[in-house]
Amino acid sequence: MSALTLHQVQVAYGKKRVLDVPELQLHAGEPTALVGPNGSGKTTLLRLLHGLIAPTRGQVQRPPVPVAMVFQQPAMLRLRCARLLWLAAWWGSGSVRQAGQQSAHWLQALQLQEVAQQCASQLSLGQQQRLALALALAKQPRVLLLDEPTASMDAPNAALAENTVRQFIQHTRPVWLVMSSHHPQQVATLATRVLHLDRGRVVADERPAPQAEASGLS
Amino acid sequence: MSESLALAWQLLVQADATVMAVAWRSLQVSAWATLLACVLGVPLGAWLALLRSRAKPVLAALLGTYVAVPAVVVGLVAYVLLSRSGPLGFLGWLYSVKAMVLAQTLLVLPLAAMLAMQIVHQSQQVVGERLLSMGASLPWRVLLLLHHERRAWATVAITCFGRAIAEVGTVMMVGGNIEGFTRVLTTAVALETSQGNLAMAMALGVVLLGLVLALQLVLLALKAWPLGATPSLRGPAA
Repeated sequence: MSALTLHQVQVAYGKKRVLDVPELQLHAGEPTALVGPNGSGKTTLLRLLHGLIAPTRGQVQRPPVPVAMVFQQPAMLRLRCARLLWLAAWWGSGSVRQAGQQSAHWLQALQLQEVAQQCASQLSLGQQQRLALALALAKQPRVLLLDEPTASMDAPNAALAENTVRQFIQHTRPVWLVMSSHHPQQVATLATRVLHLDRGRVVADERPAPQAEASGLS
Repeated sequence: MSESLALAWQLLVQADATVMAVAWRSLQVSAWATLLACVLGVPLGAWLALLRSRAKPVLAALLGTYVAVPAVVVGLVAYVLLSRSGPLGFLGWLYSVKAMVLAQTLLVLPLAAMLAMQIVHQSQQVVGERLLSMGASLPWRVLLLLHHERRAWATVAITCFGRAIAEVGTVMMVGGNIEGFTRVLTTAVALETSQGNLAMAMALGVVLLGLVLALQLVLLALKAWPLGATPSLRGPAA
């Protein structure tokens, strides 16, 4: 299976260079966390990996598989949660029947049944972030990009989200998981590789020993 | 001024047949033109907002130029199109209500498209990437962003209607201001003014203002309408 590869990649907004990655390979089955201070280029790298932005210079090679992303800002459409989730599942599977099953499954997995018929944009930030994760997973992606996915969640819901992601990557193979996080515990729980970013550059690439909780990941 | 207001009040209270017919024709022409301009212009503007192409700035600049074209030039283009030797001359619409609808549509279409482009562009910045990440195709993104901003479309429609109903140059050129047939409020005001009937002209102007005011009240009511879940796009039960 091919890797997600960045080769001599630079991203600049005007004259300001926000990302400079000479060479980077991300492998399936090796959940990777991006850590670093605000403005270090984590979100830009995730959006680049998704294909939402193009590099100013260099090349990004992506495997031809479905990609989904949970954004830092959980802005939602003015649609019912169930409808939105059904659309994501339908676009992901191409099957109306599977879309129904998938949307029901992820509503239950992320404990969103109670708000299923509510307008997504009127949910609390934490609920919107759980819905955003459900939308990403309903697409059945092979590349899952998470940009601070639990930033607006309380501790129990953050644990639920982490557990859901962990189960997803255990049952879906091969899958690329790349996430940014400011929570060391979350990074230790979910990731087996940690990239430290600073001012748009990868300054350290670690493969810490997996915690007992995450031992079944890869 | 007081004489004009008194006359306007008298015309309205007595439901003067001529004034009512002219006002009704104004409403019909502008409503049809607004409907057609929005049906064509809003998807066009939304598509332009979501377009990822090097041609996008050029197309946006062309649209901006079209918005700034004077009404009489639009009327001239409509006249040339509908004249007997023009490409649409076979329709035989010149000096008819249909010609006036076509001319006003051409006039407000770029306005609808420009407003739609701006609204969808802003909406795209907020929720557009989510739709892309969900795997929505361009037609789906256009549809869902139009639905997402549905409250804004009432404002777009009323802005277009206001532009259409207040316009005089194009309808005068292709309608001919024929009494009982193609005369509308604005052309009637122009005629009464040119004939020196200032009180009547002012009275008709007051009627026109009343119509626009009524529309603004409708807009206010629409803005106050609660928008929660979306009964029009009912999803399957989860």
